Parts: sequence; C-alpha cells; structure tokens
Amino acid sequence: MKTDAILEKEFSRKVFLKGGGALIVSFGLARAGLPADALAAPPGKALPISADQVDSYLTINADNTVTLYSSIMERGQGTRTSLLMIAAEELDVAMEQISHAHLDTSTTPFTGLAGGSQGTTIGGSFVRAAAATAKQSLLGLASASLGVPAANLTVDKGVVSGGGKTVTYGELVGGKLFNVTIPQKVQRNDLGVFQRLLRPGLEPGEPPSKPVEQYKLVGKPQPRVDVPDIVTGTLIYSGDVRLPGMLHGRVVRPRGQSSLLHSHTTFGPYGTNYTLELLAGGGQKVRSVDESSIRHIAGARVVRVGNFVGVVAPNEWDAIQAAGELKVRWDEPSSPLPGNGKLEQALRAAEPGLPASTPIPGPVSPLLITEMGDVESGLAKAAKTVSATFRTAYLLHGPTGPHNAVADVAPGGTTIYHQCGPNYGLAAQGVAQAIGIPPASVREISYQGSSFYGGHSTDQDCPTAAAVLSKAVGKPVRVHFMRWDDMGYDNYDAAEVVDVRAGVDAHGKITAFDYVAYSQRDSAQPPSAINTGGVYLIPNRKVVGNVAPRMFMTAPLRSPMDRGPAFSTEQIIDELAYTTGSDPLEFRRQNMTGNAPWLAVLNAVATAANWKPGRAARKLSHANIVTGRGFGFGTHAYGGGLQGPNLDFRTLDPTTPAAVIADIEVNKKTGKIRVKHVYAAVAPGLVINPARVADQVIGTAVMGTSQALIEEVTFDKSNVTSLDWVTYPSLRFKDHPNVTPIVIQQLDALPGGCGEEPISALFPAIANAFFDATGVRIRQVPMKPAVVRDALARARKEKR
Amino acid sequence: MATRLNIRVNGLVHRVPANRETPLLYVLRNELDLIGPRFGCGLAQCGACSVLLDGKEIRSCVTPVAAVSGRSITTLEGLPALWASKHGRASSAAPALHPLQQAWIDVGVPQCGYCQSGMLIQAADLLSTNKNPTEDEIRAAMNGHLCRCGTYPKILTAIKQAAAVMAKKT
Repeated sequence: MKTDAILEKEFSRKVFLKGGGALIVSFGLARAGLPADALAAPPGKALPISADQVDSYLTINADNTVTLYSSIMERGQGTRTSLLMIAAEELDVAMEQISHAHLDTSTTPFTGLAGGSQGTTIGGSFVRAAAATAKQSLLGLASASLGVPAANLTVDKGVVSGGGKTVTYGELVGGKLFNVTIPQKVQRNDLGVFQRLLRPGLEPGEPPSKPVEQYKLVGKPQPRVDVPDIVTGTLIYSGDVRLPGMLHGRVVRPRGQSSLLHSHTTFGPYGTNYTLELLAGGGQKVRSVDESSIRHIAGARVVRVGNFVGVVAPNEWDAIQAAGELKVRWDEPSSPLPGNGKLEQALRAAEPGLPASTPIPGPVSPLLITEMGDVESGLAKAAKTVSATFRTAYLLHGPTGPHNAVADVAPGGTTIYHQCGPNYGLAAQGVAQAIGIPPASVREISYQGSSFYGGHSTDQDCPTAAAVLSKAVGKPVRVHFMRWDDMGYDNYDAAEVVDVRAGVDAHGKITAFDYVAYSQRDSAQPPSAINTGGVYLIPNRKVVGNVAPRMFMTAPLRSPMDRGPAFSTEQIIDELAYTTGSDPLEFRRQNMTGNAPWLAVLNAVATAANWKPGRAARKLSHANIVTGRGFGFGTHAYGGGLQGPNLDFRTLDPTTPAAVIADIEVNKKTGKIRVKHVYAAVAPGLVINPARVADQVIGTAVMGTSQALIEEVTFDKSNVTSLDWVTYPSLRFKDHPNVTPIVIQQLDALPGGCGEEPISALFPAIANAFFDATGVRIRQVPMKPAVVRDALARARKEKR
Repeated sequence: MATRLNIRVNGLVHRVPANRETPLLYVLRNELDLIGPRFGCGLAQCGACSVLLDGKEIRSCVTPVAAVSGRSITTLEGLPALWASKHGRASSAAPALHPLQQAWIDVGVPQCGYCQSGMLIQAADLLSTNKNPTEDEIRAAMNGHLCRCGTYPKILTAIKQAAAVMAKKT
C-alpha cells in the first residue's frame, strides 16, 4: 500500500507542547516517508516513555475514547484484543471505545516480552496496573467535578454517574495528562518473560484493580478486533509498507545454510552477530561476484559489504531476477554437516563444558536439571522396568509469509518497518549493531505480519538486511525474504536424542525415572523439569541434559524443548501402564496424587472423548488400516531454566497443563498415519478471552499434528536442503484433524500462557495411539511413512 | 522489457507498466496497491497469492501478467462486488461483505490471517460451482492452501456456514 493510504490508516501519537505540560496535540507523525526532520523532531517534546506513568500506557481522548499503548505485537493469537479487554474492564468502557496504538519504539512503553506465551499475562499485568490506576484518578476527578464522593459513583461506557449527574472521561481528562504514577510492586527483571512470579503490574483482582467477581468483559468470549480488516484485505501487514523512492532488495547467499560449527564471528546475545553471519553466506565465504551477470536488468545494482552480497532494484521482480541471476562463487563450507543419517551420532558427541544457552551465562554441559532419591536403587526395587531411546528432528518456524522489512537509513535517523518478534526493540538493536550506529537512534515500527511462532527466527535478519542495503544505497530499501531464505536460514528448533529408563513396583507405583537428553541448545532452554516426569510422584528421578556441538543456530519454536521430553516421557509412562496391565489414564491418576490442575485436564479430556478404560492395544487387528487412541500430557515450561533438586509439581512454579487424546488411523502398508480427531484440554488459570484460547488449542493441535507426522529440517553433508513446502512438507487441509478444544476457566487463579501446551502433549498422544492401533512402539518423530513402516517391520522381525 | 498492458481487476481496467513475464502478484501489489493477495512462496505451493481469473482460482505468483490480459481478475478486495454482480446488483450497490467474508468474521477464522485471502478466494471458487459441498469436498478443494496457524477446522466450519447463507439467497 502506498504512503498516502497508510497515512489514513495510521496512528497518531500524543505530543506535548514544550513547557505546556498538559495539552495533548494529536500529531500524525507516522506517515511513512514524512520528511526526516518531522519524524526525528516533532514540534514540542515527545512524550517521555516512563515505565511508571499512566500516560505512557493510555490516553483518554476528548471524544471519550481510549488509546492503549503496549509493546505486545499481535501475532495471530488475539493478544492485542485481550489487552484491550483488560483495559476496558478496568476502566469500564466498551470495547468499541478503546483501540490500540501502533507499536512504535518511539512512542510505546515496554510492557513485557511476548515470548513463552506471556504476552497476555505479563503484558496484561502492565495494562491492568495502568488502567486501574487511571480509573482511580478518573473517579477522583469525577468526584470533584460532580461533588459526589467517589464511593457513590458508578461508571458505564466511560460515563461517570452520581448524585443524578453525569460526566464523561473525555470531559474529565480528554486532552490532558494524568500525571499519575503507577505503584510499582517489584522491579522488572530484564528477562521478565521468564519471571512469572515477578510480574511488575497488577494481577487480576489485586487492588486497586477491579475484583474478579465484578468482571463483565474479561473471561467471556470476545471477537478479535482485527479480524474484519483481515478478511476484507484492509489490514496493513508489514509486507504492505512502501516508502517513496524505495528500492527493492534481496539477499544473495548459498541455497540453505551450512554448518556454523566453526563460524568466523562470536555469537552475541540472541544472535546479533550470527544474524550478520547468516545474512553473509552462513558458513561459506564469498570467493567472487560477477556483477556483469545482471547488467541486462535495468536499474539492478549489487551491494557488497564484507561477505554480505545483496542486490537492489527499483522494481521488485527485477530485484528477484537479479538476485537469482547474479553469479557468485562461494567457498566450500568451513565445516561439514553430518547428513540426516548421522544426526544421532552428532548429537551424542555432546561435550562437557559447552554452555547450555548463549544469552544466559551459567550452566554448562552436562546439565543436571533435577535429582531426587537414587535412580539406580529405584530401578533395582522395581518389579518391571522399561527403557528406550527417542529421537526428534530439527524443525523450522516457517511463517506462511516470509519475513519482510523496510529500512530507511537516513542522516536524520534510521527507521525500520517490519513485524517485530516477541522481543520488543530487539531488531532495532540488531540493526544498530549491523550498521554501526547507536541503538537509541533506530526507530522500530511494527505491523502485523505472518505469524512465526517463536523468537528469533528470521525476524531480526530481514530488517538487518534491509538496513545494510539502505545504508549502502542511501535510499529506503524493502527486503522480502524468498521462501528459501526463510527456511534455509532460519534458526531451527533443536533436534534431540533421549534415553529413558523407568521402573514400576508391584502396586503400580513408579519407582524410578532416569532421563538423559542430547541436544544442541544455544538460545533454547534446557529440558523441562515438568515434562520429564515432574507431573508424577516419583521417589527416584534424575533428569540430565547434554549439550552437543553447534550445527545450526537454534531458537525457540512454539513449545521449545518440550516435544522431546513429552514425546519420550509420556510414552514411557504408557509403557509402564501397559506392563502392569493398567488403563493408561488410571495408571497416571494413581501416580499423581494431589496434582489437581493436571488431574483436571486429564479428566476433562477423558470425559470429552468418552474414554473407555482398559489396557492399550487390546483390540489389535490384522487389517491393513487400523485405528487407535492415545493420551499424552504436556506443557510449556515457562520456568525453562529452572533447575535444582527435588523438582516436581509440588515445588514447581505453576504452568498451564495440557492433556490430549488423539484418535488415529494407520495404514500399515503405506505407513501413513492420519490423525482423525484431537481432544485437547488446557487449564491456563484465569482465561481472559476463552474464544481465543480455544483458537490456540485448535491451532496447536493442527500444528502439532504437522510437526509430529511430517515436519523435519533436512540437510546433506554441506547444506540445509529444506527450502520450500515440498522439501519441508507442512500438514495440508485434507489431512487436518477435527479438534475438540476444552478450555478450563479458573476465575480464582492467575492467568497463564496458553499458546503452546497441546503441541507437546499431542506428540506422545499420537505415538500412544499408534501403539494402541498396532501394538508397536514408535519412538521417532516425525512419524512419517518410512519411519512407521520401519517400526512395523522391526517389530515383525523381533516377533519371529 | 517494460511495456504497458491493460488488465481488468475487480471490474476496472488498468493500464499498468510491466514486463510481460512479471508475475501478476507484483503488478497487483506494487502497481495497483491491492494487498489482499500476498507473497508466500513464489512457487505456487501455498496459495497466499491466489486470485480469481474468470472466476477460477489461480496462483498470481507464477502467472505472467501478459497471460491475463483481456480476462477478468478478482482479488479479495473484489469479492463483495463479485457477489453483488451474481445477484444482478450493480457493484456500487455491493454489500460490504461477501457471505464468505461474513462467515469468516462470525466464525472467527483468522489467526495471523496471512493465508486467509487465498483461502477466501479458493472458497469462493468452490462455492461458485458446488453450492453445498460435503466435508470431504471442502477438504479436497482447499488442499492446495497452506495455513501454518492451523485454522483449517474453522475454515471448514465457515465455508459450510457461508454455503448455507448463500443457498438461501439464490
């Protein structure tokens, strides 16, 4: 969309006249392409974004509407709508009266990170605190205005009534500052997303916020505010931004990254340096560039900065053609990849002393996540033991639309227009580092975009590429990654190999659980203490994570580091149930005495699916197509880095539990698994918007099916070979399961995250259903046809 | 070699500068400011770029603009007028929404929404030839369209809902 059209849709941000203090001037500063001086120095003094000021978070407008400012980007989960609901509830205004300002680092305060599905919980606590504080201030003003004690006032739709008189919020403060400080409970931690107990704002019902039992809006289903614009094609996505004089750019690099094991730069926090490296050929040095190879494309121009090669052209298709036709010779990769066949061997080459996680200094391999009792003696005491090795694959984020960004590196300041990731302002930092300017001089304006389900996929790389190109050519440059860029140079979710041993006594009680994982971890988290048996009461339990040498940069992907733990643990639990002849659900109930939230989701999903108790695989058939049903637990461990002795559900920070029952169909000949129906229950505490949580349950059930059955990053001995939807298949419409979402509302509990949990629960649910259908264990994901056929063939061989 | 071509989009004829081989997608987005169709893969694998060509869904990311000259293109933005024209109403009297768009809102289909333009286009194609598709027919017709957020189940519901509404109006 061209600039003028953007302007009409754009936001305006309050700007205060110098010295005046109280007058708000609406100023349409966000017109993309306004003269740089207008952007950099608006008339008067821009609002200081102060963490403890109500004015940083919301404005009451003269027309009795409210504008909310938060740093949580809408990424398809309805989070922005939930935040509006929270503010509207506290202020007693209608949803029609409140809207969100555009996310812009020059005008938007920090309201927490959106990672770990904490956008609504952490962001909500900021918004609740600001709105509740504003409400108190408004009641005070209304009391003075109406001459009625605040306690005798009521508010509906922003109209305050008392003593037979009324006054609107707009009349009270429209055009004025609150100048009110929000009481700060605790200091924000820099990694606020992981500090669930240190939410800086107000929890639901915490004074002066509204008592939960008085909620009219929060807790009831609300439509998302952005959906009408999405379905009419009027919502401006990041990919629609166009600036005057803008060029189109593309990055030129080998198709698919090579190993970054012996990379030439040091990796920085969340990868500002490896971003540059991935943009500049990954592990491969450029040997020569033949600029004459694109001379026939009018206006196309090559940009080289060190090992970085890119092209720009006034016309987008010309830029794409030029990037494709430019002849570049690359050196061989500096170190080889193992090839898919040798992945397990590469991961088992874990090295003691390797750091577990790049951004957080501290633990090194091997990581002792938890240890309770003595595993060996627990196994010795067991009546029956089971053991197995489980394998998961590298996964990619794969947004439907590849990342895109416009960068305008100008003398007056640098602006980037893109879809920000969960880490607010991080792209601005990366851009600043890449082009050598102070981070504070980069303004980052964020638009909705294609969801990418995690942190640091290529959300930072694209604006960095655009900024490097813009700086080189002195004009705004737009980069839209090609499909192969986004897949071939993503930071992948780490593959894992897991060895598990467990034992059960004659009374059906689990005596021991031993879990040893191998994985490269980098910016992802160590194994979850909850998904590795922490749901159960197990007297002897040990969980260890070994850190393998880096092959790729990894980054969290929706439910990071939960898939391997849940896939392995919940299958082993099922095996224990089977060996004791028990119903898998009843076996779990017996081993999780007192674990109320997890029992609640187990029972809810069992009821919804009409679970018939009994031992698994009791109805095996010789037919080619067989059906089965399986159960799995899972969560996303927000306390991801949590480690220590004696970690189980009695000591762990509460997280959102998920329970899944999957109904599947297996074609033994072809090896194809079809997931027919998924029943999934979550209990995320107080649910702000149940309809949107149900959407997340449906979405994660479909995505989890895709990952569990067919998704896998492939690579040969030099480069990644997953470059499109053929080489990296994703579940298609025809194969999607029907989903029954169950959302348990707990008005008396703190709100928790809810964008990830069913994924990890679904992995073992499908595998357990496979066992129910075939009597054979499948211990590798993706459970693609070749893996299924292999598992069935091996089982036949063992039988003979 | 850039030239000028006449293309008919959403009922209007536009004279656009374009290389004949340029995929239609870039002309729609960069010359005509139509942002419904989106770039997803450039390989006709995902359907984010879908538009109707004489009422049938095509992938604009791999369709040369010269190939559509003289034929009628409908993008997401043109669906309400298309629906109106099917019912003998002038496009100026078009309803704000095609029944499919209304169903998408009522069911609350989109998550990130990036694929939904293509989904709506494909669904419009389906319902133009099959007034009352079964679940299997919907699954088959929509199979070429990728949604990474996992909205397939809600799309299924919305198409059934729109089909019921449209059946009443014809």
